[in-house]
Amino acid sequence: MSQSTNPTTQFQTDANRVTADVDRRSFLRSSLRGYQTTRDATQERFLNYESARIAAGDAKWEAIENLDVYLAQFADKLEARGATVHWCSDSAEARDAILDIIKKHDAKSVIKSKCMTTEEIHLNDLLEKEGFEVVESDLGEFIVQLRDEAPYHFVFPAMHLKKEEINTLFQEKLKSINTDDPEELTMVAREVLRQKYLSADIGISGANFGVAETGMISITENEGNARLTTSLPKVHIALMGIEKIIPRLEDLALMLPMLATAGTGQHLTCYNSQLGGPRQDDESDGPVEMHVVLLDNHRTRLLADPEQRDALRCIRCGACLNVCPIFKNVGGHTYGTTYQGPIGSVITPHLRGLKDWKHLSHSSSLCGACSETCPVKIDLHHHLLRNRRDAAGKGQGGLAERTLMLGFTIVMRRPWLYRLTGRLGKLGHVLTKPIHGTRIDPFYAWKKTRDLDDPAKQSFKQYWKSRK
Amino acid sequence: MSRDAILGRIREALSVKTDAHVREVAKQSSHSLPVLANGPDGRTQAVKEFLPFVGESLEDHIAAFNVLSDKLQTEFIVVPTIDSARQTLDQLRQKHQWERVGIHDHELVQSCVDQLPVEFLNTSSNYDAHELEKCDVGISGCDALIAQTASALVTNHSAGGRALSVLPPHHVVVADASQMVTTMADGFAMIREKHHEKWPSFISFITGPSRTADIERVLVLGAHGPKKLTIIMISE
Amino acid sequence: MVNVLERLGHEVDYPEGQTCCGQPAFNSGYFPEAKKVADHFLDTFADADMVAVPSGSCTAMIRKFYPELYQDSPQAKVVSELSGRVFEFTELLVNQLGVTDVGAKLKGTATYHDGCHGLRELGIQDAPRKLLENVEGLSLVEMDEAQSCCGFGGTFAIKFPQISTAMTQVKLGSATQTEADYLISGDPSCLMQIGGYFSRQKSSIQCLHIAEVLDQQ
Repeated sequence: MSQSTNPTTQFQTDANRVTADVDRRSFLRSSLRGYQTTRDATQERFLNYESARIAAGDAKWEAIENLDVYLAQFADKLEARGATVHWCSDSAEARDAILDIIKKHDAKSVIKSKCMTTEEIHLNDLLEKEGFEVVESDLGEFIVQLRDEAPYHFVFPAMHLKKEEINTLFQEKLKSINTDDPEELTMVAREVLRQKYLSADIGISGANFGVAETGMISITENEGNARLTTSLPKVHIALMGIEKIIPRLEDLALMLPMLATAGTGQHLTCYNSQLGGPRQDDESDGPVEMHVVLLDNHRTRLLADPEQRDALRCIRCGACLNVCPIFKNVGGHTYGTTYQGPIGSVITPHLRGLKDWKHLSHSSSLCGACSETCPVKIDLHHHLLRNRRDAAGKGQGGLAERTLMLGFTIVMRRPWLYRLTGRLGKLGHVLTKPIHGTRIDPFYAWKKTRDLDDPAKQSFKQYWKSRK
Repeated sequence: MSRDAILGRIREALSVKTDAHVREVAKQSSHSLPVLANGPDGRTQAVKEFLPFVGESLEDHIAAFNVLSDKLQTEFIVVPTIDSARQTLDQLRQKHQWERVGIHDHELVQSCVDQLPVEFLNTSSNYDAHELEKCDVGISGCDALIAQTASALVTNHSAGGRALSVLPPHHVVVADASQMVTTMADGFAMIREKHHEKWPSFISFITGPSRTADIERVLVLGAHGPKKLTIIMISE
Repeated sequence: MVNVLERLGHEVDYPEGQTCCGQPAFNSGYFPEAKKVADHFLDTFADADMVAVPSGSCTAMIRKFYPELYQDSPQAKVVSELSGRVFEFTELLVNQLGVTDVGAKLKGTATYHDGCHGLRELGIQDAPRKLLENVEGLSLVEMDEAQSCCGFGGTFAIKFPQISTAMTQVKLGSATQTEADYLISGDPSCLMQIGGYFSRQKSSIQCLHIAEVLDQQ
């Protein structure tokens, strides 16, 4: 996953490795299957889940199609309540803004609750380089941080690890007791992190939603780490992509259950907190400063695409990863992106460039399981197709592919040529027999793992004629 | 500077209308479905009409709250009077050997704990978080109980700040039956009414004790927040 | 497919000038090229009352993606009319012709694999199962994750053979668990993928197109 390798090569290489690891794949599949089962049961309780999806999708459409109005309203309301809003066009601006705040407070330690957007701007690397202690407090994030790894799944960061591996890790890094028990392992992390909350100068969080009407961020979690991160340190910084906006407070009453159901299969996650500003005059605790850092980082480029701005409606539930046969078989790290799975394959080409990331749109069978499951009905798999179209339109498919497609068109428009090609194909099949199964066989990629039937002796057309 | 630049880019991007076909997909379905009017009112209605049904009466709501609480491992106790709430708290004290208890200035909380033989820490004014961390339990009020989700809705006003309900290993909520509402939207409406737009800086739906399943999907309670959540509802 | 339809008393024509619907180019992102092939399809099939297609995938291309391809073109109207008359074989039988028993016989146990395009683009799920349940001697067992993709996906199978094959490996596991004699599907391309892998793995499961099954007397 080093930066120097080209993302396509890295993807192919990592996919080779993971697909060959039958044991890990089956571990992944059974975890994801577990989420699916829980989720089905929760969905069953809805009076009408399909209609709820449409209504939830509508809330995000309204927000995205009026983003200028709602984002300005969100920022104004927050500032009126004493928070500071930082508008950042790209990663560098966001990193600078955050670093400035930390330095201004002469802070030493930073506690973080789960925030994929900080992964997007590579915040931890910067802060550590600057000499700050940065601790991830979400258990899964804490584990992957100790392993010096990226999150595997943007909702379940450590889902690829077995308890034995976590035991080894904790013994090595935390000098903990020898135990495979998930409860004991969790308690080890709890004890370590408790002290960090109390001593941290700065708490950094993300935001699942930004409520325009009231100027609040909403954070969804199960562990309580985000609540502690935003309660105890004297400064709270929230980093939020500009697309997280929803119009009204009451919209959360729909969006929060949808997020939980689609994401983890819970009817609601344990803590859903709305934070609007720092500690107010009549309040007894909470941070004395609240900073909300708004990040564009090419989201406006995606917004400018009248088809694919649809993808900005994503609420990052992770459901599309859980059902994706590609994700299930290559795992999260193979993507090499902040956002894995179908949604990552759709948006990464927009955020980081089509030329380098178009392979993610090709590495899909377009099965549509993602679109079928999305709680806000994003047209995910068709967007992958649209990325393919845009890449082909820019000639990024390469000369060989263009020639092949030209040939395809010429043949398919001329029935006589189509028939001739069929016959030549049969002839070719016979003539190439000596090289079948070798690397110079034109069907090598197929035949390496799959048989290919010999062409039928009689084409359907010949049969049709004989039948008459 | 950046504000204008970003808002400018957004406006420019939105000057091209969303592709009609894509916009339509979000509404389509293979089933024939009831769809409510677009917009805010439709969505609030959706919470009632499409999300799980929990009945109309208080009895229905209590029953629904009970079922979900079991699943969440929330201890939900319905008692008839403040007196019985006091007794329940005293039993909990004995069972869990509470010595230090975090509380706040809240009428119902105060009247329930006034006879508890423990040391108190009040979080309604400046307090030391390290002291709160040493408490065995935090006892707070709430704004509403939500039947649809078995949540306690709290703000820093109704729950003694941000930390009382999350830092100690056990959180006890005391509520009365008039606080039971159907949906989260009803809960928001109550807070809207109470605070008249002068929103508290912290509003949270607490739904069960703190939990994680980050290690092999095994459920563990008390990841960072309370390992136990008790909700005592006084029915009279 | 022709035999079955004729047995049911329908007149079937096979326009000899037909080639391909254009999906391979379309799914690779080459929309203008796909459209040229689609033009040829439209010329060939313009006069048909109904077009029966033995593939959910080709049907989806014509019914769902042609209208998108011709969105702003003068042929848009022709396309939308024709695409309404194009049906996948099983949905044609069950939903259009109201037939669920074609009088076929086949002894053994079968499991059905849903092709993704037929299932998710067209919503075909019950039709093939109803038809198979009425095949004399055949018992139908659902496999685990019957609705998971087989791994074909057109050029995907060539560009990412390792992922494509891993997906079929999962499919083989689910199919084997059912102890079925046959794996049946409505899509030749899925069958090429599944059949190719099963045969390489020396699986005893025979892969059949649903039209072949319904033709068994």
